[in-house]
Amino acid sequence: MIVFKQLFSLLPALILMLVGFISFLFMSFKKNLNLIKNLNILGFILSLLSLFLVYRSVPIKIGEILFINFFSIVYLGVLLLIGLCSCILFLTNKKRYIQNPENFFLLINLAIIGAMFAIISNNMIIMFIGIELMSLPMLALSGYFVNEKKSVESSLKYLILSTISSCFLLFGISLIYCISGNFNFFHFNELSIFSSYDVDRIVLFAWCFILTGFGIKIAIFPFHSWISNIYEGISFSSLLFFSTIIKIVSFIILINFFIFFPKNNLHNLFFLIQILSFFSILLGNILALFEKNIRKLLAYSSIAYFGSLLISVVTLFDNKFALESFGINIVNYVLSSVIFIGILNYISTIDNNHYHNGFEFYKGLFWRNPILSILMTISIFSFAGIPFTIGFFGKFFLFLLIIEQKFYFLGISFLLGSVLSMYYYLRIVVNMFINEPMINKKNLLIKKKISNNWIFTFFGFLMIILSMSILFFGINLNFLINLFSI
Amino acid sequence: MLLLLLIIIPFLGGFISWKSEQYNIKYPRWIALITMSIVFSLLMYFYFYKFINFVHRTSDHRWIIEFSYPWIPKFGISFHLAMDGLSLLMIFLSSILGIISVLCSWNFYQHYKGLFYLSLLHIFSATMGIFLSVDLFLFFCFWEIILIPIYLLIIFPSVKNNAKRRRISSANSFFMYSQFSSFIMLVVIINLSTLYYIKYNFWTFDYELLINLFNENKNFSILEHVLMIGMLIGFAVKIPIVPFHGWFPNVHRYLPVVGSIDIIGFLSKTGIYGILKFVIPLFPNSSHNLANFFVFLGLLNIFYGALLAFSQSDLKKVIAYGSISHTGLIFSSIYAYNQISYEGAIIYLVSCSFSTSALFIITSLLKKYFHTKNIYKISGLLENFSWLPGFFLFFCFSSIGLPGTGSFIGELMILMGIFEKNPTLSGIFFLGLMCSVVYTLRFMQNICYGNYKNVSECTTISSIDILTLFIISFFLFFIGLNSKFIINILCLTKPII
Repeated sequence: MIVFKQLFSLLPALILMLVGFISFLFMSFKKNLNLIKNLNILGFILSLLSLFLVYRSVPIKIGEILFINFFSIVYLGVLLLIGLCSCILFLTNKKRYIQNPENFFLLINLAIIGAMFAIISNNMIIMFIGIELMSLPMLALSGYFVNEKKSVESSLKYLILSTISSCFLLFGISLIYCISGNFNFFHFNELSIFSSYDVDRIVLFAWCFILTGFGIKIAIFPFHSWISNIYEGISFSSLLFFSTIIKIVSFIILINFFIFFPKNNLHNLFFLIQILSFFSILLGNILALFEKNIRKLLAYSSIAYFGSLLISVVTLFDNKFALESFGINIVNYVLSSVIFIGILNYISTIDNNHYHNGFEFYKGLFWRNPILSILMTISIFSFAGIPFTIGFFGKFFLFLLIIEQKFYFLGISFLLGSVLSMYYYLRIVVNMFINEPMINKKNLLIKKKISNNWIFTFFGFLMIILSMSILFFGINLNFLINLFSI
Repeated sequence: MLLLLLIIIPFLGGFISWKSEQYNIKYPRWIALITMSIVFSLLMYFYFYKFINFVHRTSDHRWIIEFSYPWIPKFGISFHLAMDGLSLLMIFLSSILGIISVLCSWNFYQHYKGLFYLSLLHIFSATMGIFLSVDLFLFFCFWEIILIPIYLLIIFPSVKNNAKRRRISSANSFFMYSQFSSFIMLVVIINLSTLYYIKYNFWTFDYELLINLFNENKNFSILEHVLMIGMLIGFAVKIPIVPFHGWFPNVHRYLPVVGSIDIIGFLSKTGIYGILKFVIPLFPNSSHNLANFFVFLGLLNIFYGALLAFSQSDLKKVIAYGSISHTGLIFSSIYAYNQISYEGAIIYLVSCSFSTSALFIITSLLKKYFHTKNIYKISGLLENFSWLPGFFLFFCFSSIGLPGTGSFIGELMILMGIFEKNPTLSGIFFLGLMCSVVYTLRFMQNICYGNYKNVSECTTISSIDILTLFIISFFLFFIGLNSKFIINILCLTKPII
């Protein structure tokens, strides 16, 4: 029986559901972009605000299937922020693609609801449904701009991969169900009662499947090959969604699994994850080193980034900083990605020929649009981990974890990876700061069309707020640390 | 609070200087000069009113003044700035070199003056941060952040377009060397803190606490050696010491003269400062164990730098390799573990920074009048110019230790210190110094004598250059004739070695 307090703690999701329902009704009777747009943005903002109300009643169990604690509240906030940002990003390039722009908002709304339920679920089935509810709108989002060839291709690829990953995940879940006889996360500790050689083998097997399922979604080492193609094809406003929400949610669920799982079953698995992390960091960085396409570079660097985040998963039990390091890295990734992709999106709106994918296009950007390129530089520096940005603290925490746990090989790969990543991130920055006396055809476009008016739009305001918060948190980290230390 | 001002004033001054470009193209350089002068006069004021009295009170204090503010309490990281004798001296030197670098760029860079002075002032600000911070985490932050303005200074638009790609690749090599070494240093710093946590069960990055870690037991431990070498690599790249010097000559070749002065004056000094302040006190046993090896490494540096300087044809490369040779002497005299040679090393460091910067300024002038940097194509300086040859000869002689200049005193004290330790070694060092005389003579002889037919009409240098060079030669004489000044400053606090 659900009491009012439990229902109240679902308020953020309920608001989004209501908004989704209303916009669905409007779409079926009379399409009105302005109304749906405002409704969705308002919905996201209200939902963000309602987190402050819910915050007082956590931790709370809702039935046996949902469990909200402080950890999930923070990440719900992150998800809603991404949703809000991708709505705003979409508005900046609506002129190019005029095919039912209302659908975009509804799809994002649905995907965020799915992601929210996946995070707060306490039951593997609800979790799976949440993941599917998140992934299916993504499918539509990736193929949203059908007038582009690559968009269709990437959509198809994502369809196949998403299905495969769901299959793996489902098989892993059912294997665990075989042993424990329960879908609930809280009952995982019963596994240690049955522990025997055979059971441990089956659990390890199940874990390999689950890890494969999530590995495809996060795109870490052996399952990474899809990511560059999809990043290349889709539009930037969907890319933001792709590169952040799926990965963050999959990671958080992985962590949820591990937190409730009995420790003694996991030692072999953690060794496996260390190997995955080692290779993801090296491979992602090396691939990105020789990349000339800025979207692909983002894809490969994200492989390395999430590979290094696996370190905080491995140290989950032995170190109390693991969750903080994860949280700080996630915040850094989200803020930097929103700024980086947002600015790329803005630049891409003036270019119809895909020139914006190459580095040449950004040559001398600083001398024409100082503020735009400074914001982009801040986000890149935060990715790379230069001091006085959050990225540096993320890197610091990961080094701390590695050194405390004495993972020497991971340490070497992370060290090398950090240096390599510095190099390719720097290439983008250098391109912006080089003054090119001969303006070629490619970057003539930038000179002509971008004026500094964009600062005064809602989008510009968002970009400036976010990049200021990167610098602010980079200097005053205490707030974030307190937020993530539960 | 004073210490914070030393960092904040140039930082804000940089932004003001950048933005003032919009109103008048001449404002940025004035604002930069005023900012540097404010810092310098602040230091002078405090030197004469605070520090002089400090000497008489006590000599066992570690810090002259201190400023501390908690930053990330959970890890025991605080915004801890403090000044001892060594850092006071280094800051003095940096602020003088800062003023010189503004003066010598007075008439360059018509287009991007604002941004140029922004990066110059930010380098200065970060250098202040490096010299003042005694929290290892804070130190590392400044150590990293200084790379960005230097990097921007290197890739700044130059006149010629064809050298652009090579300039960027040299800048990249500099950045990669620095990044790699500084990440190793970060690992070492975190490792130190973790060791402290395991031992005392609370987190700290403070220098004064971490210094006890290896000081308490005198046992041989492999971990200490590994950490020491890791941290030393971090500093050795910036000095640079021979296996890590790959970025150095190329960067100097493509840098504008101000950048060269910054790297010689600020960056190399931060490396040596780091070794003195952090490596030797934090890892006393392993530094002592490997001291002989490092002395030989420095010796290798001297010969290697001198030999390569002898075979170069590019003016700036000659000076760059010469400076590698000089730093080798400083490096080995640090590891001689002797009070005399330590003081000598500092005097030599200060004096070398001045004379090498002056040589870089003269290089840029030569390039301006002769339109080349090739030694074999420049000749007849002595006959055709009025002020330049005198200064040139003076700085060349000063860099090889003319009595009366600082280098002479420095060399003398270093050799005395090493002689006390090992007389034979001191002889070999003397041979190394002879090598530097050889390449300097060749350098001088090629440039000063001979005929140069196409003398341009401009046969005297501008008054601002004369002023700059005059300031530098004044300080060189000042150190040479009044070395007690530097030793007094060093002895303000408890000596490190």
